[in-house]
Amino acid sequence: MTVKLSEVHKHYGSVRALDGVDLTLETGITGLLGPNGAGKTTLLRCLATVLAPDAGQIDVLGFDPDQPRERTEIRRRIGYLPQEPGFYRNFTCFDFIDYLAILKEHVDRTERHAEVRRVLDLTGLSDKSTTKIRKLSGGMRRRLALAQSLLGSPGFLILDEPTAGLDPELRFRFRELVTELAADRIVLLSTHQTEDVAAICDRVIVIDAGRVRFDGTPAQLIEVAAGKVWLSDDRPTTARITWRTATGEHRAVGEPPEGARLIEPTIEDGYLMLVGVAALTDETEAA
Amino acid sequence: MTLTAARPAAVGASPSPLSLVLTLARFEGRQMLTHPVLCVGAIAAAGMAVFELREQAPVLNRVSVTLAWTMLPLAVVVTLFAGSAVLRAKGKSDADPPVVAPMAMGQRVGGIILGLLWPAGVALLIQSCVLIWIFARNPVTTLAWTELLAGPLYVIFAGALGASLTRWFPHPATPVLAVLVLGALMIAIPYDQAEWGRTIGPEWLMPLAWPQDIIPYEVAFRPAGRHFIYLVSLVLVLSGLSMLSRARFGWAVLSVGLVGAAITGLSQLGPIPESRRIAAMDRLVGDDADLTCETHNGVRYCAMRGYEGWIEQWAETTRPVLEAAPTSAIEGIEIRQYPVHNTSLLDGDEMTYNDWWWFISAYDDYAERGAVAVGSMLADWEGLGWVAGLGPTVVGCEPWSECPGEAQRVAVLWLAVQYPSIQSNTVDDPTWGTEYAAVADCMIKELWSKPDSASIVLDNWNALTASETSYKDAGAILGVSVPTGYDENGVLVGGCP
Repeated sequence: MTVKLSEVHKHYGSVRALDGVDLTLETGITGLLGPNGAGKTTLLRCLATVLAPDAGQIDVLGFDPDQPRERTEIRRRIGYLPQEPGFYRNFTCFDFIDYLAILKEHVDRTERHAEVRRVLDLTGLSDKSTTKIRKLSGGMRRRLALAQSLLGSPGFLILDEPTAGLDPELRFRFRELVTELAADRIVLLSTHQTEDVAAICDRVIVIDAGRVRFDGTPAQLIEVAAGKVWLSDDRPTTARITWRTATGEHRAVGEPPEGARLIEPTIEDGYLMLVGVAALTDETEAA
Repeated sequence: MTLTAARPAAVGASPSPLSLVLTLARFEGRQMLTHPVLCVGAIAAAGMAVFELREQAPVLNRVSVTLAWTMLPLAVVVTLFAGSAVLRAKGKSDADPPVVAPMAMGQRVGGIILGLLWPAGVALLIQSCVLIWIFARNPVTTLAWTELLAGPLYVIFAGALGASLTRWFPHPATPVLAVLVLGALMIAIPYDQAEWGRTIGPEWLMPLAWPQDIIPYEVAFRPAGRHFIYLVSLVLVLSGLSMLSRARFGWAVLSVGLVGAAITGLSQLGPIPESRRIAAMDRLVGDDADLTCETHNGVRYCAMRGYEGWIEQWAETTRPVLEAAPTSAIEGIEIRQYPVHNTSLLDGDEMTYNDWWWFISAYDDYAERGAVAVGSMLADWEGLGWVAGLGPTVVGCEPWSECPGEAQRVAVLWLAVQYPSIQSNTVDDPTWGTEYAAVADCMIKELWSKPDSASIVLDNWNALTASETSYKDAGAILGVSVPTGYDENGVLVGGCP
């Protein structure tokens, strides 16, 4: 059970959203990191069969999304959480999931309703099943969107910013849930939350300007910044990226000066080493 | 969130398209039924149905039932619903979850259209309740089940229209546009056609149109079975259009619909045969068991069910007319109620359709018509509209004063003016008969002034009502002047002599 991309290109006018992406995804959680506009969402939408690439080959679980019949087979096997899914405000949570379950070809009413209740339960929305969507908070809507992606226990789960808008407790629970789910399926998780990647991903891919900049384990990404992170009382001028911490010291990433007070890098440091200023700007915007 | 996740289920064989469509239809139908706006539409439709059909006795106006325009509020709501459901099924953007669902778009639209059966059921319920209410009043009619389904069919038609337009023009404004198209199809265009007096033709091909050449239209509406199939075919055409995809099913539905609509549409063109009209009349009132008859002063009066209590009033209304006629003319006469759905007066032309179904009513203005009608019957005159209108008459032969049978008009009018209100509005009015009155009017006015007019008429009744007697002859028989004649505009030249 694999997902393969070979030399995949996707352009929007003169912008190269994907520029020769080669990837193979296997069972487990793969984190996808990258600054805004790096091509993450485009990549996910190509895999979700929403977008067709301009060039290259995509194979999802043994099916070619270019072929209409095979595209349908892919859709039967994937769960997709879009970055900003549309909701039907007058539907109840149950009706919303029930509707999408029907579109996902769950015909038997009893089984379908059991499945709807299961995914609502998984996302902690059981007590909101009869609540209209318009009355849900942003975080609840995010969970509802996640619930629909889990319908039918898909073999390939594509999650675009799944923890955006979730409070810390829910993020923790989400990590637990995805870890459970990933035991026997492929999970591709696009996020700006490097902590999530560090916590649950077996593998991390950094994409920037439509190209894969890094493909390895979280530990390997951390290793990228080994010996390149230090603390300083003053803002260092030689650092690639620097920011003031809560203690008043300055944390710097880059080539350390002589005698610098080196510290243990995090996965975020590794990521910043790779994508630099663009990522920092992105993080600031996200905050 | 809980901390446990189920094992992934293996993807089994995909369900059949039919089961998918039916599953979605149940969902969409339930969504429509439980929406408050549909309740508003249903209440409005029920209100319109009650208002439109409240006077449907003794004869059920089948136009009102068959046209089913009273279901329009419900149809409008359903059009908006269906359009919105199609927009939802397509997804607002390519990031919407429905976009990556495997169910084909044609199947989704098919489910929405089949889901229209639920609001159509509401329409059927409303129409059934209203008809039960009408039939509880024991009307004289029969009703085809295909007519009963007209209301639900219009609701489905409206929804299919909304779904079809929105499928191919997916925009939030499209369902509203579909409502406008529906309004044009069901109201504006047929109304315009009727207003301008166009002949039967395109309006027959519309889902809702006013029949113009069927008399009486309330009993002889379109061939119900064929029109039912025609409406079903139209729904199939719209459904097929909205379900078109790579799969052949949508094309097959479209083809069947087009063929059905063409055959049944064309079969509705052309005039309705006279035999069919008479058959429709006979079906309605041909059975004497539907009539209650009583004899008053030697004249038999027959009323339809629910109108028995009016017979005495009719007898009173016609009494002065009958008293002025010779006994021989009254002998064996039977006065029957004209089959109109709510006792309102039909046009004179319509009253001439069948000369033995006389309109009689005890209502004020209608009573005058009744008096004229009875007078016409006694004088064996079929040109009822002429006398009822009391307007100028243009004679169709030359010389006009010698046309045979015209003297019967004089006899009819003589009997009619026995009725008090006609008398006061005609011979007692000094302006009457001076300018625009007809020849017979002038002759009656002069005759009325004679003290022995009654005996003159009675003595010469047979000659006066003979089929060969002309105005000139009538003038000689009655001893009155015959006006000079009419100008090219049908106006009496110089007024009454």
